[in-house]
Amino acid sequence: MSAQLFFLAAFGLAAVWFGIVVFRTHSMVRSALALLFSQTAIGAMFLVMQAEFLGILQIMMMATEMSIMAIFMVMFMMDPGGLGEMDMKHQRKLSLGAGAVAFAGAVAVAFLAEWGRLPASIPGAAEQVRLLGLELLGRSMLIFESAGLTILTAMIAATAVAVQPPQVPDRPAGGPGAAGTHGHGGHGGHGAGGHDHSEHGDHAGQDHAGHDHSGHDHGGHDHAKHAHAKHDHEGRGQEKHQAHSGHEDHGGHEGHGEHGHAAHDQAGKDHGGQAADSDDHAGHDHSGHDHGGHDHDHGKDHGKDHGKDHRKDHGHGAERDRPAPAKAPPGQHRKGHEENGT
Amino acid sequence: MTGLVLAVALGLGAYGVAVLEHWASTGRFRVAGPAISALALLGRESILPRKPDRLFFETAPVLLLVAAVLSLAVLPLAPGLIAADLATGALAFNAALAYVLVALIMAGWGPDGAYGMIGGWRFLGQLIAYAMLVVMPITAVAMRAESLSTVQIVASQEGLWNIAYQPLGFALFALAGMAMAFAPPFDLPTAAGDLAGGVEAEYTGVRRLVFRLGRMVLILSVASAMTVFYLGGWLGPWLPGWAWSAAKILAVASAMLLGGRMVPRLREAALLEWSWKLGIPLALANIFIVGLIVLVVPT
Repeated sequence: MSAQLFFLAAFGLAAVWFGIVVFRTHSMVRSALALLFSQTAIGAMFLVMQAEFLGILQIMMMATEMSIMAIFMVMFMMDPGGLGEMDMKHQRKLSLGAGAVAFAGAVAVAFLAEWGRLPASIPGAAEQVRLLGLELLGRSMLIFESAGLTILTAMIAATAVAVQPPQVPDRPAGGPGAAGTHGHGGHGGHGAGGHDHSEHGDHAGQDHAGHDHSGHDHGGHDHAKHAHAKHDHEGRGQEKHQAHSGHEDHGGHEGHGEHGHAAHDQAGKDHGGQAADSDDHAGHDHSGHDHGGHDHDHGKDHGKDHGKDHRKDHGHGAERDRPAPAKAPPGQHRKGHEENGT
Repeated sequence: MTGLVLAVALGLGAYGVAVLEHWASTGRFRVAGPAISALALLGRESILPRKPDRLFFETAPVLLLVAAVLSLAVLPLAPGLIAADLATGALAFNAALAYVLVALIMAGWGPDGAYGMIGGWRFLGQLIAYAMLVVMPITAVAMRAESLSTVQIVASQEGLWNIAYQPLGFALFALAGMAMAFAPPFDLPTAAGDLAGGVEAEYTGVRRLVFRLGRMVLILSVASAMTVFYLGGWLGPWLPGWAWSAAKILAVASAMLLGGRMVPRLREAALLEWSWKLGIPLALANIFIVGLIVLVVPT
């Protein structure tokens, strides 16, 4: 009995000490693992108190849980190693107060609760497992199943939130579901703001046949209907816009408008108002680009190639004096502009 | 006395696994090899990286060794020849090996080096893949034995070994066990080719020796678990129980080490995908099938 009490006290003190260490260290990983060993010490206390199943379970579960918590802390904190001596404390008074209240509550429960009679004899470990199993599948089943279902719901919700929808224009990477099979990924990079659109201007104002838009045919966007290859954008005239008038009806392009509009603006300037209709047109052109974004290398190559091609072959339309994107060297853009002289 | 026998068995087993690993990776069977390597490591300087998390760096190899030894403690070599016959032995095995993860994260974080850090966190992803596939087949094993005690589990295989009773569970457990021991096709945290040793990379001298020893004991532990849970433990004709156990454990360990060398290293993403999309449904099916057999077939 005295040995039992000694070990109980020792593990209890270890648990408290590791709990203190959690707040004393600057390193997130140390902090998480200190919490882990605090919990492990509590598991050891269970073992000392002859609650074998609970103890083993506590020791097992905490190792993985705290490790996962550690990686989240490393991912989200600015100074996970604590080497920068950055002060990450905030709401100090509130947390101190909340901690004091919670501690007082726990102590009050410990002293005020009616704990019932102590059992005369502790059942053997195997019997404990059996009784716990009966409890979990009998009286407490509803509670545990509800808790399990709640956690499952939370997991699914968290995954749903984490899976990024592919049509967000600011993010080049699509969700995992959209990854992999797109033939023409790279243009997601173009979505990163208004800077890249000199290339898009090319697209908007010029010969789409050169772009091979068949590759843009991603999830739900039936570009066969748009038939870009057929549009004679070289004309830059009314035919083009007539040809594009049909595009207004095509759905599924939500979220690409930004992209498309920007391109259109450029095209519009150069075309001197001819492009009355080309909002739709531009939107269509680039809709596919937003969908990709999984293959940056490809995107870069594509962008460069297109830029060059257009400058040589049809280089006009886009306002090339805009801030040049990283993808195509600015000098080449200017050159193209001068050559084409529009 | 039992303790002494078990300690000697542990030492011999770890040494045997080291010999087997060398044989599996180079094709040369050198009985003295591990001893020479160990002496060489003892003689070398144990370099401390420039800005380590010293506590983690020093603790990690020891924790790996301790976790592996504790997991072996609940596995019987023969009737009565077991360090701790817990009523929750099958669970305790998992609980001990969960700290392999903690040790590898410490070993990865501690030295403040890129390769080690990637290796350590990689193993966390690997755990997400294998953890369920270790626990769920053991659940089915415990269902048949109607006990979590490892001794009871061996006794339950008297008529038919679990490898025949639940082959699906064995296949899943074998693969997941190899992932748990980061044995070759699953050696993502050490990954000699792409991570230059990963979590082991910054360890030299005696620290590396302890790390390697922990790894050997870990492989021994996983092989012992396969023997106890699926291959009838000490059961077998003619020979004494401990001899059967030893033979089976070494056979499993060599199959594990040799088989793993034949397959290219998996990518982290592929491992996770297969584990969750294929492995877990199969493990659930295994539990269901075993449940049916347990209920329908009279014992």
